[in-house]
Amino acid sequence: MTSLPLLAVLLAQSLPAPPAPRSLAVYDLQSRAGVDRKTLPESLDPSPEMPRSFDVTALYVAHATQLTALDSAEVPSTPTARLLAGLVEEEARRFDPSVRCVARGSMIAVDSAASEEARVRDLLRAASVSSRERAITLEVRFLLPGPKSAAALEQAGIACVGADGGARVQATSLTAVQIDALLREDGERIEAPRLTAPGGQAFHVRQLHRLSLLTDWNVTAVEDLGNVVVPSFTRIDDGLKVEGTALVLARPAENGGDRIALELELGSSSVARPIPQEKRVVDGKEFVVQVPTVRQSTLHALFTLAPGQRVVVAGLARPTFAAGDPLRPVLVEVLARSVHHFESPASPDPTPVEEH
Amino acid sequence: MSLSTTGTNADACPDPDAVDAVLDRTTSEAAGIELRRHVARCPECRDRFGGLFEIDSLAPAIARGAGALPRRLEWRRPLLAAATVAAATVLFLSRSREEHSTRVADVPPPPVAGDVAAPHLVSSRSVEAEFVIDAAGIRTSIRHAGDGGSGSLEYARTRSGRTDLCWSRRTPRPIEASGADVDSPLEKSR
Repeated sequence: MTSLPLLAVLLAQSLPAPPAPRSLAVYDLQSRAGVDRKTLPESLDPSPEMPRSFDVTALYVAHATQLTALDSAEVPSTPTARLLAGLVEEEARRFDPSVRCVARGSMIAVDSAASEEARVRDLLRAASVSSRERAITLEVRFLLPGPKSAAALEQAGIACVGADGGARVQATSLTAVQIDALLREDGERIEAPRLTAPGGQAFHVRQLHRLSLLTDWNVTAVEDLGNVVVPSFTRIDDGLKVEGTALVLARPAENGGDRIALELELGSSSVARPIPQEKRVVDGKEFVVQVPTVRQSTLHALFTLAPGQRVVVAGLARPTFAAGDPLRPVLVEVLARSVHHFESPASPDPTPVEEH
Repeated sequence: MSLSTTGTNADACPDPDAVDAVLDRTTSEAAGIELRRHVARCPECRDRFGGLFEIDSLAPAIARGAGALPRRLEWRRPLLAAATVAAATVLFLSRSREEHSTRVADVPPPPVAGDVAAPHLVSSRSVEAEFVIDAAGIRTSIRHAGDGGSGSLEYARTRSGRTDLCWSRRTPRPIEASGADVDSPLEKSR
């Protein structure tokens, strides 16, 4: 008789736990209050049978016709929304490991455990307010290791290739001087001036040569002169660049201190040389044009890091044209710090406005 | 200590103990000079002991630093030889490494995880594109990989006026199969 309750307990433990109720909420970053929760149509509220880790993006795309106000598919997300989504998702996973934050336009869709929705909302609101009060200083360098210095970097714990076709973001305890020492054999480095960017504002670092190539001739009719053949130039960028935005999430020290989100678009472009030429007949006359071939390699990475943490982003390579010529990796070293507070504007009303 | 004679040059040839004493610097300086002069002049002694004095002159620092070296000549010979060979090997290796590769001593140890949280990659994507500008216009081929999967895209645009192949910002959305988010330089070039 006494074994029956025990058996029931064991049976209950062996059964899979029912999925925890989920909450799908959409927050508007451009609202008067800073962050507003939008009420979703009933058809989009996840049912209890929905898998625990359903994809918010897929859900939005599937119901795009019902979400014209949110414009899930056509409007690209803003940098601030993307960075905030990344920061809040990382922070919220401390108490809800399954949380997902997806940026859509200037809104953030949050899929979290229903019981944690209030905490995620508070976190998002605090991050939105604090991120406007901070700026970020950035030190960016391009590292171009050759085979020997790439091996030295690998030995020091810095991989020179990306991961799964994307970026690899690596923290390193090496100083800039130590990295320079590892590159001295056959590597190069390109320094950029330190810059300060307000949170959410775009910045760029470029090491480019802009070529103007004569690629065409156009016939233009001019009064009294008849047809005039006018050269047409193509401008081509050749070199390296980093474009990006950054945002700070202010956190107390006991929670790990501030956190910085960086979204970088790294690019490397090469023009095949010598640039071929060909003759072209325009308006009965023969002209010479240049026929360039351009190869570009870009790498997008959105990541979070601690202030003062030196990271090296791998995954970009300098395009080449010679057959069998190995791709030369391009690493981007980034050091970001949260700096002085700006004079904060009048604090918005912290009370969220519910829309029904 | 006197120079005992054991060899055919009866008046001066030293015995091994005398040589040992000189190499150990336990004799007077004058006696040491006398023995070294003899070894330099006597062919038999030069053959017998010359190597020891040569090694001694090559590795004075090793001999001074190794206070625990055995005193007996029979022990000293292989030790000094090995020390000399080792010193020469180290010298050779360090010079060759300096010339051809990064020295191991210069490579800092791999970073050790500390209290600071590691960077967290939220999303990433790489794109490789090639543009060929010719008489027909611009032919483009794009390969992409990352969070949104991977794929490739090729298309051509006919020539129409001026073209700028410059970078501009691109949204991080995955490239759609329809080509709606194809490489932005071409979008800008219109």
